[in-house]
Amino acid sequence: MIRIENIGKKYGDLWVVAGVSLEVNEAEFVVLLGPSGSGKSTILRMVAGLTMPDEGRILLNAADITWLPPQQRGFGFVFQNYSIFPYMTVAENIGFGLKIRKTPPAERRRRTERLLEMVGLAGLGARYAHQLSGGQLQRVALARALAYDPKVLLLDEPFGAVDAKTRIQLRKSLKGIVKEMGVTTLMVTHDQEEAFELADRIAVVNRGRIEQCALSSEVYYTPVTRFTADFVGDINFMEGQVSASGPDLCEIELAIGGRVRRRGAYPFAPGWPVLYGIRPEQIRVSLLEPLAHENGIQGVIEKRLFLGDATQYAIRLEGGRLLEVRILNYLFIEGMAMPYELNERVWLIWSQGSGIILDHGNGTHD
Amino acid sequence: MNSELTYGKGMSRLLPAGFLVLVMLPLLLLPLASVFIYALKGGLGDFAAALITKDALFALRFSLLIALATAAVNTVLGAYAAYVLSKTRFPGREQLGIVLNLPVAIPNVVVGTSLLLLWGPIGLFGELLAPLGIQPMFTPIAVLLAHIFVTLPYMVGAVRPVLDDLETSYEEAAYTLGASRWQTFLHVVFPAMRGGLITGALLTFAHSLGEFGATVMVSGNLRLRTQTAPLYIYTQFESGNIATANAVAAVLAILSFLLFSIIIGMASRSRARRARS
Repeated sequence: MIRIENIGKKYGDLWVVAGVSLEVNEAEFVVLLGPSGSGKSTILRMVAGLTMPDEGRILLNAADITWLPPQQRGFGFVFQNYSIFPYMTVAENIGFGLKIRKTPPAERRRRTERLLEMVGLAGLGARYAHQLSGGQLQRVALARALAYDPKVLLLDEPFGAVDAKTRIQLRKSLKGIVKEMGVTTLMVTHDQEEAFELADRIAVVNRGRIEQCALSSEVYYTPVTRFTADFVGDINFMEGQVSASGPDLCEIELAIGGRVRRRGAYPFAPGWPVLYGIRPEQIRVSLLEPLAHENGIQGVIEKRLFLGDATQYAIRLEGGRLLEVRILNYLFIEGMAMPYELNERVWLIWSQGSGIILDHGNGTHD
Repeated sequence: MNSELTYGKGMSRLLPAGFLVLVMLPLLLLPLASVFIYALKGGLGDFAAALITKDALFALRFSLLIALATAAVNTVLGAYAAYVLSKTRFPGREQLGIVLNLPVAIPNVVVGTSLLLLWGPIGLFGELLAPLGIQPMFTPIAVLLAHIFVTLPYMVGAVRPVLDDLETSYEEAAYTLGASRWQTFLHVVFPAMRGGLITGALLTFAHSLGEFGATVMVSGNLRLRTQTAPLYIYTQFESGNIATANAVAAVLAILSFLLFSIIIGMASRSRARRARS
């Protein structure tokens, strides 16, 4: 179990990581998700021991490893560019960690064979790095990191340099392997889909800080910051003011006009400025008015984008706002996924159980 | 990828090469041929006789030994210098790199002179060593020193780019796998350097074989003591023994040609390998 306590790293006067705390439980798969330059790789490198923190500590099962050199941590690290040693064969690469640990050659060979099979590269042990594809190199990197049963597996954007189809394949096999071995894993990525597929928990990183660390569904449906709501998936945000607040209902008056309701208790008093968000896939398009228990707003279809499995609409509301709506193409009539024309006036309707409300005022709220 | 411009048909394609050969004829090709023509003028017998003199054999042997020793010392020294310049960070790193490259920019004669001015009988250190009976100049050691000085840049120049290309992540990967700094050097860095070391050693050897300017200053040109092959050729030619001079010159030319063919062959093979990866 890893515990990161308030670590920080600065380059010059700039704190690229500040006040980061995180716990990764035994056999858990935690993903650090964030944009480029957010400091997530720096956090990972500090856990690996490749970079030393300027503040805070890192503990492994209650032992302080903050200053332990990487050689002594017993972690496995998969680099973004694989870093497969070019002057060794695949088998020698995989067996390198075992060789350093003075594992007898027979045992080394046995484990290397087993790992090659596990990552789907059986029989390729004698190849060299320049003879392998990107996806194959990634598998070698993984096998190499897992060869000596590391206490923790660390992955730094491991699927960056391969094509989309290969990424998906690699993701699936990674998840299978990691769960089979039960190894505690911490991975860095900027790809939200990847994070959702692999993570038990996601830690959203922005500008050197963790904005939220929770289950994928929590991060998606109950983001606690605007950045998180924006970065993880798409969202339509509208400014507004709380017009009524009760024990299980919150009503908001939107700046663009109209009212929306959200079931649940929210700690905002009436009059408080908030940001109301609704995700594109949560909205349905209809020619009929919304029912009493639904939220609705009118608009005109301005753009339509065919995405294969779904269609994305841009709806222009009165007052000028543009809302993004995403509809699955499960219905296909007369050569069109949805029977709506451009410039058609429609209702956008969504449930009062959907909607994200974030504080938009300055200072405390009651 | 080589870019080739070969437009045109038939004979016109050979025009650029033909013109080059024409220009190089009086500058390089014919003079080289002359060496062999003169060396073999009296037939192979005379050629062999000119070579098997005590002085000629000593000069050739001495040159080969010095070249070998220079290559050996440079392999260690140059590799170390390349590693420090490439993989460590310290203030003045760029400047140190430039200084180590100076021998390429300074005329070799000046290198020889500078060594004399430090270690020679009237030199800064030489003056202090003379009363102790130590006279480093005009000895084989002096020749070795001068050759090392002059050829070090070639070794550093062959090894440093290889190390610069070697991304830090390889070393970091080795650390995460449990390897110490030494184990990382042995298993990860050194294998990458090997090609550069061999090229550098060959370059050092070749340049040492042909070294004249610095050697003529620090060796004193002492027959059967510090007279290298190039010095022998010069001395013989000056004394009018053209045939003898040419015999040794021909041998040097063949040796150098062979060496550089190997070097270029290795360089193009490693370029092909890099292009494949």
